[in-house]
Amino acid sequence: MRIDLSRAVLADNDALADATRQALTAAGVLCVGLLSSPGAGKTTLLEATADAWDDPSRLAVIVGDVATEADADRLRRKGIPSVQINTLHHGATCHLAAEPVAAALATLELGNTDILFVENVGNLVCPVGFRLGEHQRVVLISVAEGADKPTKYPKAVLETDLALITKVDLAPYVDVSYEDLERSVRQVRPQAAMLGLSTRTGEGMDAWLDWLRARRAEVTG
Amino acid sequence: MARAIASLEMTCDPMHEYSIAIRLIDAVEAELDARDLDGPVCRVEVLVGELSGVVPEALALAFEAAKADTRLATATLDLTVEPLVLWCIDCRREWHAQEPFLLCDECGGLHVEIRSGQGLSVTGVDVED
Repeated sequence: MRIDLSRAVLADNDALADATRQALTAAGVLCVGLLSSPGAGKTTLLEATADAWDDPSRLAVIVGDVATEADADRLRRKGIPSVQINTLHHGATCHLAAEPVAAALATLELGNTDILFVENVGNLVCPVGFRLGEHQRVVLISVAEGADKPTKYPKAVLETDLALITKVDLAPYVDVSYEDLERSVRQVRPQAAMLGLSTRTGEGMDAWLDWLRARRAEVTG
Repeated sequence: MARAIASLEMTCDPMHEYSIAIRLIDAVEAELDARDLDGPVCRVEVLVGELSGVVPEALALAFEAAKADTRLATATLDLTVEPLVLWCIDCRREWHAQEPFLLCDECGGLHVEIRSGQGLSVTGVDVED
C-alpha cells in the first residue's frame, strides 16, 4: 500500500523549537543563537557582553560542546546563569537540537532574564538546519579564518539574521579586513545585515549592544 | 559493503547524517502511528534538497545502519535530489544554480529568492498489506 506523505524530516525538531520560542516570547525573553567555527569568539563575545550589560545576571546562556563544562564555567564567572550541554550524550556531537535545549531551558530561572543566548557547537555546517527556538540567529566569522569562509559555507550566511565579523583588531596581522569579509558575505547574500567588532579593543561593541536592545524591544513589544 | 564504507569515508563524515537518519525513521513511524499501521515499511521516498546540508550518499549509508529493529528494518531508501532553484524578482528569471548566491548573474539584481532546494522531506512510503 502506497501512502503519499509531505513531512519534513525535522518537523518534530521544528515544532519543539517553535514552542520554545513562543514560551520565551511570552516570558519577554529574547533568544539569540550563536553559530560559528570553533574559536571565532562566541564565548568571548558573551563575556564582553556580560561586562557591558547593566546586570549580567539578567542574561542567560545555554552552551553546547562535545565535551567539558569549560564554557559554562567561564560564563558563570562573569555572573551569567549558564547551562552546559555536552552533545556526546545527545545522539549527534556536531550540533545542538531542540530537545536538549528545551530540557536545559527548564533548569533556568527566567523570571528576570533579558536575553537567553544559545551558543552552538563550533561548526559552520551541521547546526544550521536545526532550529532551537531562537528569535534571532547570529553567525560569527573572525577575520583570522580567512575571507572565503562565507562563500564556502553559504548556508551559515543564508539561514542566519546577522553576520558578525569578529577579531577585527587582528586584520593587519592576518591580511584579511572587515571589508574583505563584507564582500564575501554579500557575494552570498547582498542584503545581509552585518556588524564588525573586537572584544579586545571594544570597537563595534556599542553597535552590537544596540542591535541586541533593538531585537529585545521587538520581543517585549 | 565494507568497501563502500571505506570509500565513502574518504569523501564525507556520515555522523551528521546518522542523526538525520534516526529522525527520518522517527518521522515515518509517527506517520504510521497516526494511521494505526503496523508496517512493515518496504520503501521510503525522501526528497533531499541540494541546499539541505545533507549528503545523499551519507544519508543512504546512515539509514542502513539506523533502520535495524524498527518498522523500516527491511525498507529501501529512495532518494530524489531537489535542485537548487533561484528566482530573480527584478528580471523574473528562474534558474538552476550551482552556488546558493543571491545575485542575478543576468541583470545584476540583488532581489533573488530561493525557490527550492532547501528542503528535506519524506514524500511517501510503501507499507506491506
